[in-house]
Amino acid sequence: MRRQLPLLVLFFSGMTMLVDYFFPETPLIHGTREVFLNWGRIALTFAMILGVMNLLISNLKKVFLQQSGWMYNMILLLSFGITFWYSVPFHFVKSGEYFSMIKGTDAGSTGFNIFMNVYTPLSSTMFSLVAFFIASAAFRAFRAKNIEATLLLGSAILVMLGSIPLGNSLYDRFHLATWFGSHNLSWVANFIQDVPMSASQRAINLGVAVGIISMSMKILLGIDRSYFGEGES
Amino acid sequence: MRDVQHSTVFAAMALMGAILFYCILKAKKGALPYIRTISGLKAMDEAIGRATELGKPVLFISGLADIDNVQTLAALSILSHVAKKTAQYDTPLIMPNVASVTMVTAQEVVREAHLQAGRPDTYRPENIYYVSDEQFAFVAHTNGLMERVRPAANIYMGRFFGESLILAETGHATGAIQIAGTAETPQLPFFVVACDYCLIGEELYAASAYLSKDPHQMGSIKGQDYIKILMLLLIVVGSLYETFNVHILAHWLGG
Repeated sequence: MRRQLPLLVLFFSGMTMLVDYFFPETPLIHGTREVFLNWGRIALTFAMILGVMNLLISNLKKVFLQQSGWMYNMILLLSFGITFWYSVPFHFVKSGEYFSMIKGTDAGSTGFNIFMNVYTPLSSTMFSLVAFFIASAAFRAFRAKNIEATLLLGSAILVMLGSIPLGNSLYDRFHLATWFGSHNLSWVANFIQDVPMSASQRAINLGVAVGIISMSMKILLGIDRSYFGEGES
Repeated sequence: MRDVQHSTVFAAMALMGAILFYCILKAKKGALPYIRTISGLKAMDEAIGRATELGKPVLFISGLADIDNVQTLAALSILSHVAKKTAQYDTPLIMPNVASVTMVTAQEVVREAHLQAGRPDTYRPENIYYVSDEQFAFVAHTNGLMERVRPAANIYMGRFFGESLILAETGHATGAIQIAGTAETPQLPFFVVACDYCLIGEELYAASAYLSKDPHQMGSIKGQDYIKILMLLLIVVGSLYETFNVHILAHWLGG
């Protein structure tokens, strides 16, 4: 029963969503779907409150017991406290002789400034690492070790040169148009991206779509239960 | 039914379902299909073996999506196999998580795998933990973990976004064997370049059948191949129809 009940719930809720997608005009199915979605939203709200409480308790415990890395837990608690305090729904701000009420997440509020000037730059810093990693990964990928790698290198050079003004200038400067027809390098770069690259991407996407349908069917019918921790069906 | 497009999708779904169901039934009767070797999955045991020899942990990341994503479910299926192997070899398995529900499910999967391997005492729930649902906060933690702990094998399975290259390049710099798998086409080149093995697109979904050798699941792989043949035929016929200015098929497909 411990296994059958979750599978039954899974099958029933999954089939309700699927049938409602195709036959939304059926009131019973549509109503059941709405009930399921509302249950999900309510559970999520309570889970969020529980999550915040769990975060505070587990981090406070580590700080009080001075477990390894407790300083990081303290930084987390301080950041949480400050952001929460300044982002609570309403604040009173003194303007002249009067107090006005603003939302903690409105533009200009401290909560908003914390988000824009602390969180956003931190995220951008991490994301900017991609530029350096692309360079190091490209260095390894574009070594002409065999025919396939050489083709990759050649098409990469064409796409990169075709995407910048310098590429077309060189193309004109050396009169390459007389050799390769009237098209410029940007056209070549676009052709590589629109034709061979799109074709291969679509082939992968078709396979992925079929894979999703097959996997969904296996999950709905309880054939694949390995995500429950079971090896065999 | 809402419109022509919905009836087309419904008909296609019914047809695909019937093909898959037929292949599953056929495999159940004993006609097991041949599945070509998927090097990324074959290398998984090798990678876990290497981690055991070096006495270092295995790092598993199930992507940035929550449990409602099919890629995450496929990743958890692979986790089940990985956890069973690590439990047999008594190798630590570390799994930082982006989503809390995925974390709880992963804990259950790993616990069950330890039970099946006959090693419930070696199960460490604290090794499967929640970090943050913020993309780059998670990346910062995982990169730091790779640099500090230096896992011998990094396995990335599931849905990844802009962080794929940051994770894979950091893992490459630490000298770990890396196996990745995703159905996100924009991230595939990054994984192909930075990892030793990569499961491309549908291979991620086939992994569960490949690893379990379960006849029901292997039958569905055969069914997928038949569906792809049908799709190819449809593409060829559709191209011919459009070339000769016949738009019936395009209209029926919602074009």
